[in-house]
Amino acid sequence: MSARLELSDLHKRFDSVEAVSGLSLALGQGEFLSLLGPSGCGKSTTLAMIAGFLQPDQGDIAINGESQLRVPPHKRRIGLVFQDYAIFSRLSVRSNLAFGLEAQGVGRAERQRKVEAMAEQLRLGHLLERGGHSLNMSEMQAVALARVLITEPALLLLDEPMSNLDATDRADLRGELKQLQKSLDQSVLYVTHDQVEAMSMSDRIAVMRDGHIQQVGSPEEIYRRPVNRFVAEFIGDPPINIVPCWVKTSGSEICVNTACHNDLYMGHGDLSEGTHWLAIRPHVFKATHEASENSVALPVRFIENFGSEHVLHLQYGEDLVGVVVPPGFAEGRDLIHVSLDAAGVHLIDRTSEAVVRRRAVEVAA
Amino acid sequence: MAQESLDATAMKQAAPPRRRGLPFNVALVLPAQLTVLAVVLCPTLIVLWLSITDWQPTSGVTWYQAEPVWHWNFYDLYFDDRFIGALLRTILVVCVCVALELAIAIGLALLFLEEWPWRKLAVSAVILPMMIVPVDAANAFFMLFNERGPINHIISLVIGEAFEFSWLADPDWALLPIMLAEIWQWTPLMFLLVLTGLMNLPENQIRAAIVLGASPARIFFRVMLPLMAPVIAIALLVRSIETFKIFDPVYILTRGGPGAATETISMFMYNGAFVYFRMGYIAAAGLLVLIVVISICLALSKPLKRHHG
Repeated sequence: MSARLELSDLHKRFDSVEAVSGLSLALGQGEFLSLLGPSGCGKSTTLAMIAGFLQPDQGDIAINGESQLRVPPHKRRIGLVFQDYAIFSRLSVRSNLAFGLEAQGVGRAERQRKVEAMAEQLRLGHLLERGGHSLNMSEMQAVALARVLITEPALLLLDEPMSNLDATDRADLRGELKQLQKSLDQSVLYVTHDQVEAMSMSDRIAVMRDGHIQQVGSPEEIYRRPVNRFVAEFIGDPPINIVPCWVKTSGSEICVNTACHNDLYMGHGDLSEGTHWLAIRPHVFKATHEASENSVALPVRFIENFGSEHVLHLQYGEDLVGVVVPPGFAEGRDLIHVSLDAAGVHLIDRTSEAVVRRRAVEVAA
Repeated sequence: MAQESLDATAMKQAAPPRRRGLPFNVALVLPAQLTVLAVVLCPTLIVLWLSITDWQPTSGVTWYQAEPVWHWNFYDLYFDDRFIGALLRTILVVCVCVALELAIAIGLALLFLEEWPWRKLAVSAVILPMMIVPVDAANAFFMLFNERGPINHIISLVIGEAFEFSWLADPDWALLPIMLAEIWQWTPLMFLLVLTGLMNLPENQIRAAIVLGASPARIFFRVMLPLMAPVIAIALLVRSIETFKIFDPVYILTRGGPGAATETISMFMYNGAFVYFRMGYIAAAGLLVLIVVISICLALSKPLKRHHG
């Protein structure tokens, strides 16, 4: 039976460092929620508190509405997959899988049956008699997952489970993990620093930085409507472009100039005049070979080839910006004409680094 | 043609000058190697020679002129109850002492695994016996187990009547104080080895076992102990070899007596060589003991090999 998890106002301090401060987060039943952030942002500390290895200084952790602060780790009905997988290296894969059931006092026949079933589900049958120390990384990952799933945890905690895998294994596993989670209707808290994993698997993402949650929302929301510069920069590949801009206001209407594009109408908002930031996804620039009404010619500095698309790095005032184009688009050209639609860009307040929300009707991109 | 010979001359000239004397690396290690040769190989060869003679320093013959008796020393040893008894007694002492040391060391190490106030100081206190000169430690036990010593005194207090027992003079009990002295002094070494091993266990495997709901006993026997196998094998190896050579407590407490009741193999060889002056015979015994010790080493190092294989 999958569970709900509520974290309310969690605080944890190590000496002088506030690892987690005021973290509140709710994970619904059967939801796949990613805790995404750079290393050192407090996500692993949060995980350790949920698992019960660390006691929060303040705040509450509740599973299905019941506080877990006085509950020891093994009574929290949590399945935990470690970053290093923590396979019992001196035991066989079979014993690894059976370990949790044995500890729960499940009978031999029942244990046998469940191990076989789980091994079949995760296609581990051929590994069962192998020793834990002889597995490669992706095998360890699968065994670690099977070892906790077999105990039918109410909540599955995954701590960077793919950071030790090859790129191809990761791509395969993302799909498999998502399918498995759906079919089991399993509540999952997935801790990662890799935005691709978070974006591709999650129902919702919580972006974390310096112990604070920056934004919680669906992958779509996080990508389309980042709340601040950090989220905008952290999500998206190729990364978002941040360029300086100059804001003119008349009443609540905002108009901005950048180094190359002028008079972008940004609708209504609350922002002081002067220099601020404009965040532009590489797909938002429209690159053409011929000049058009709003376009400016930008010199090509270098090209990154990603196969299905190329990213041009163009001189934009004093900055370089990335612009996504189809392969071969910039073959043998020094100048590319680029136009910019104000609807797709995010205006960032220079002092607060928050994205200024526009009250105007969103113009279709 | 002329060009070729010119090149050849040039190459000859460019070649480095031929070295004189020893190569530098050989020169560096040679003194050490010669020393090792002198202190290991020579005595071994002398012992090999002596073991096939019946040389006695009191017989007036120099050692290299001694009369060979070939295999007869070994033949005699085989039928020498005192030798066989000493050998079996030593093996018993090794088994009892090392097993108890390991059990106590694991128990202590588990206590010291978690952080508690004064822990570092307590570790220093626990390993103190190891630092004491073995002869002094043995003397302390000689005093403790004296007929009128503290041990008998405490027993009197407990049972409520006068208790006088000569531990060291009783053939059935004299080995006990010797083994206790050995265990008391050397458990700390075992403790340090085991503690280091425990502290280096992969923490996440233990955490994983905790989350999976395993009891502390299950975690210890199923996860920690198997991971500790190599460390424990090394600890057993080191202590078995050392205990096999046990001498100080035997010499101080009983000199192998009463009779030969506490004579271990080193005590037997000491008595044979320096009390009875039977050098040839004891050389043969020494060789046999060497073979036994090497067998113990090989047996105990098997788990280590498996670990790396």
